[in-house]
Amino acid sequence: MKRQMIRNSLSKNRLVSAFMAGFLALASALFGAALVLALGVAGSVEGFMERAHTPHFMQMHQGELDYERLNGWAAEQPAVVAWEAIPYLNVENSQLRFGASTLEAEIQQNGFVTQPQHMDFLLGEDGEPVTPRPGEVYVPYFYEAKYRLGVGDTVTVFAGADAGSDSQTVLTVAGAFRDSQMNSTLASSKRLVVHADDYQALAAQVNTAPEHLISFRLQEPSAAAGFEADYFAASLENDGPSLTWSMFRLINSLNDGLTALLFVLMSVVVLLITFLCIRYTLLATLEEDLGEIGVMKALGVNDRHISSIYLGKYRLLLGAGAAFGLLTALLARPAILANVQRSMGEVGAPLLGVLAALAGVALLFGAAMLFVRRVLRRLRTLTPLQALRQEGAAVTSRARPRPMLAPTTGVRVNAKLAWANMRGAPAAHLTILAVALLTTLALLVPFRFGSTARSAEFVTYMGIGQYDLRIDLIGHPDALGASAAISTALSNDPRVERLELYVQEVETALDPEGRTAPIRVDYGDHSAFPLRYAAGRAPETPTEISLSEQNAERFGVAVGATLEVVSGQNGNGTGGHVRVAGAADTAGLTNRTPRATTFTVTGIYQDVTNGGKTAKALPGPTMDAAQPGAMIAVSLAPGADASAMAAAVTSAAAGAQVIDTGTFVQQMLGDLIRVMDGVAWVFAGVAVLLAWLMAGLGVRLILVRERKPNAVMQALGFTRADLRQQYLLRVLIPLGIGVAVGLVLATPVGNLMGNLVFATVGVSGLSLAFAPISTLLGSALVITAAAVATLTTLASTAADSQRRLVARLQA
Amino acid sequence: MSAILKATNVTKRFRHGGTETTVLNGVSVQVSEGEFVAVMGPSGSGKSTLLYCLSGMDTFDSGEVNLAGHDLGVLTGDERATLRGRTMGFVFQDPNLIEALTVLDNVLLAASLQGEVAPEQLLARAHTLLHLTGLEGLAQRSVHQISGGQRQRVSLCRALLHEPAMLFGDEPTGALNARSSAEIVALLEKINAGGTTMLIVTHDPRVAARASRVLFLSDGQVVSDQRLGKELTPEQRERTVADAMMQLEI
Repeated sequence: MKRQMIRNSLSKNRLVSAFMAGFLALASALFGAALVLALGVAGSVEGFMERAHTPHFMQMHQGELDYERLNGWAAEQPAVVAWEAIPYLNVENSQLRFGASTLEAEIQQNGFVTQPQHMDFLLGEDGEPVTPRPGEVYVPYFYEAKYRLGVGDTVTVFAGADAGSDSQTVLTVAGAFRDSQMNSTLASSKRLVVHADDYQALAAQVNTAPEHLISFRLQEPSAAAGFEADYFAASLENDGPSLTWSMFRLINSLNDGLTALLFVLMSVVVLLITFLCIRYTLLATLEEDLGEIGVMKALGVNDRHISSIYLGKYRLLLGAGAAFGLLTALLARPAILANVQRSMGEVGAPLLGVLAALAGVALLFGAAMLFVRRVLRRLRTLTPLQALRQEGAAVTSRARPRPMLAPTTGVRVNAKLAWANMRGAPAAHLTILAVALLTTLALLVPFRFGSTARSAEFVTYMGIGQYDLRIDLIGHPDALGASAAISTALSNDPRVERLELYVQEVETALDPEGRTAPIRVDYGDHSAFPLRYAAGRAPETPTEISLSEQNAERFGVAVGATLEVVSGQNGNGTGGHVRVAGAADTAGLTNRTPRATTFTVTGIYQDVTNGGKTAKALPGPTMDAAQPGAMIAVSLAPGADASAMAAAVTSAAAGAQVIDTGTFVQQMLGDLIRVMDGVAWVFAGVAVLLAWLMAGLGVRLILVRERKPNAVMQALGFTRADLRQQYLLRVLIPLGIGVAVGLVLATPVGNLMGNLVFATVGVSGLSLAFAPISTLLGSALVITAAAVATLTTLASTAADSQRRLVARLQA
Repeated sequence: MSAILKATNVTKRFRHGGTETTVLNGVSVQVSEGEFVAVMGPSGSGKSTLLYCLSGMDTFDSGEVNLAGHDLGVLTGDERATLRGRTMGFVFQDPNLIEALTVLDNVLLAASLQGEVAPEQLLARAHTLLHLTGLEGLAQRSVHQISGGQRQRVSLCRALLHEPAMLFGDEPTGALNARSSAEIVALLEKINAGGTTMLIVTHDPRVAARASRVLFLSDGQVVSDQRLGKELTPEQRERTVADAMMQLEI
């Protein structure tokens, strides 16, 4: 009998039942997909990096290196399992051509390597290290996709900076590879793998200063931080940024991890909406079934048994929805994991992802059923008499009516009746309001992510000031002289609005374990191109310093703490000598007297440049490096072409690395922005669909509940147009309020979610950029979808409303 | 007296699945202004269906119904709704009050929509009707706070507020106890005495006894049209109705 009752209940409101199941199916599909992706990424990254033997610690070094000394030192370190100095031949993008495409607009720095011997393997499609033959080149998958390179295409390298020069080397693309260090666009360099003979020939042709990736594999990846300190203390080659295993893992997993996070957030929103729908429909059903419930109670059927009928119904509905959602997520696995597969080869732990999705969806289902039980608790307080008397207020709360029709006549009566019904049955209307609020948030906030990442201010969250060009002279033999000359030339250029010179030196400080660690300090006027600080502010006096987050963590300091910075000291803590890049033996050694200055830490910022370990200070007595680096920041006048300017400076200033920061960030964050935009469009579609579904469902439920009162009103003279007006108001008013509140909350909620999302790229304290078009369009779409759903639902029920007027009156 | 309602040869069939049932079979009825007509008959005789067809709440398959000069057969559903709102009042067995409104607002509901009478005038009339029906002190109450009999009186006030040309009732005392029934019946009589034309479907001979005419239906046809003269006493009226019912085996 119970089964029959469940069947009857399901067939009574088929459309409503379908909606309920549909919402949970959507939430389950999103959550299942998120878990599949998250587990897939987590499992794949570790496996990929193990197969590739990714270094646990890697120090870039520009210039010659003392191989024997390095080898001797490495042999003495018990933590070291293997080490390798991987030569990297830097090539200017202007010297490269992929097929017919030039790379002048490419922000990635490029270089040639041979296949490493002991670690950092560059893996082909088969998971094995690629082995190019003479004349062949393997390109990273990033370029294979971006420039549509295939086997047989060519990579041309020109001598010098002129791409049109006669001296060139043409290499044939033999395939693509996965690079465990530089797969992602967040890594600003890319490698091209060639045979050793071709490497030697290219080195002679290109004639740039040598660079090495000094790479170490350790007993324990977690020992990398301490190992880095030991490396620096040994005054070994360190003219460049350093990176560790954890940073490589983050870079490899970022885009897909972010997508998984966004899916989880969306599934939570849909689940909340599902809960609202469950509550609304269940209360409406209980009210409709009051008579039957009363009879059952009067006959002695206990509450548990009565509840079990509804539980059975929802178990079936929601179970079907969850199962469908899970199946959808599992069938979509290939698409969900496509990027992981492409970036990392094998998808690790496939079974774990499936099991996690199953467990996750089961959790959603369990949460939904718990919620159903909670709503059904109301039955306990309902007496048989109340139920038999159809006292609906015992099930749903009803506000006491207030006088409102006098003095009112005509059309305004419909508005007042709409308001009276909203007051009288707040649950239904609050549900519409809540769903409108959630769908507005779901629609607006993701678009703001993309807008924020695209905005000009975003760079200031990432350690880059809001300037147009960045000219670096690191490793330049006369960085100060060259930068001064460049600054003078640019100051006279009408296209330049402002420029600022920063001197870069590597000082030292002690970490909490008492080990000396390098700290790269940018000295200059930081108020010229201010950063956004996660905490505190920029330094304003010569004894103040601000640190990147990585440095703050490394030195164990927060805003307000002091940090003793020592200039003129080499890595082992002694004074007197410092090895200068490119110098051999004693030539070039400079006598320096270590000088300690106590700085007050005034601010902490995120930095994606130079391995993320930088500091900012004002010029002062600590500036004394023999061969400092220099950086010139340039902001251009409105209308000036940053790319053209960058190309001009590059060709005029030998040894300077010029970056158009706008293009740099866009390309660096390109994948991220594409993911955010893609997810935003998916969210927008789902939000509009939800608005349409909820309005239609809400109206249909209200119509079902109010069959008889509507019939009475029609009997008394209300036309269908009058009823349509009332329902439109009853939907559009809570909807409009929900959208308005959603618009207001989009900023604080968006900032909260944005900080969660952008924390994955190390950005904190973010304020999302306002996206006016998507805000306006999105709000209009939600309201339009709801209005259309209301009208179509009313129209679909209007046809038989007249025919069945008497039947509804007599019900 | 002129006829306010004239129905000629009205037929109504219901179709359910493959079965067709004729509920009204060529019924002709004429109601003059100021008349109080009661409609009686056994269950399934078609008396409620007749009421709904004559009031425009339901359509009919053939025949003609003219109410207050309007041919109901050519009007759309919304036109009939507007006509009902302007010219008719209804009292149902279930008072069908709107729970979201107070007693006073329920009374004002239908008449307010039409907008033909100034709001202040409507309000005054509403208070007058509530006073007449003994509900003056309940104007601001919720409908949950009043008894079944009181709700039916509110329903009556609502039906009369716009001074309709005709009042229709479908078993207005059907759900009431004897005392409340008597109160409603007395009110109906009083309303009719004031000139309101009424057509009331009832199975209660005490209600029918107050009418000036009683139509008896059986199997979808009018089988008797009994006039009850003013000269008859209430007891004689009740006996006349009871005799007719017995004769017709109703």
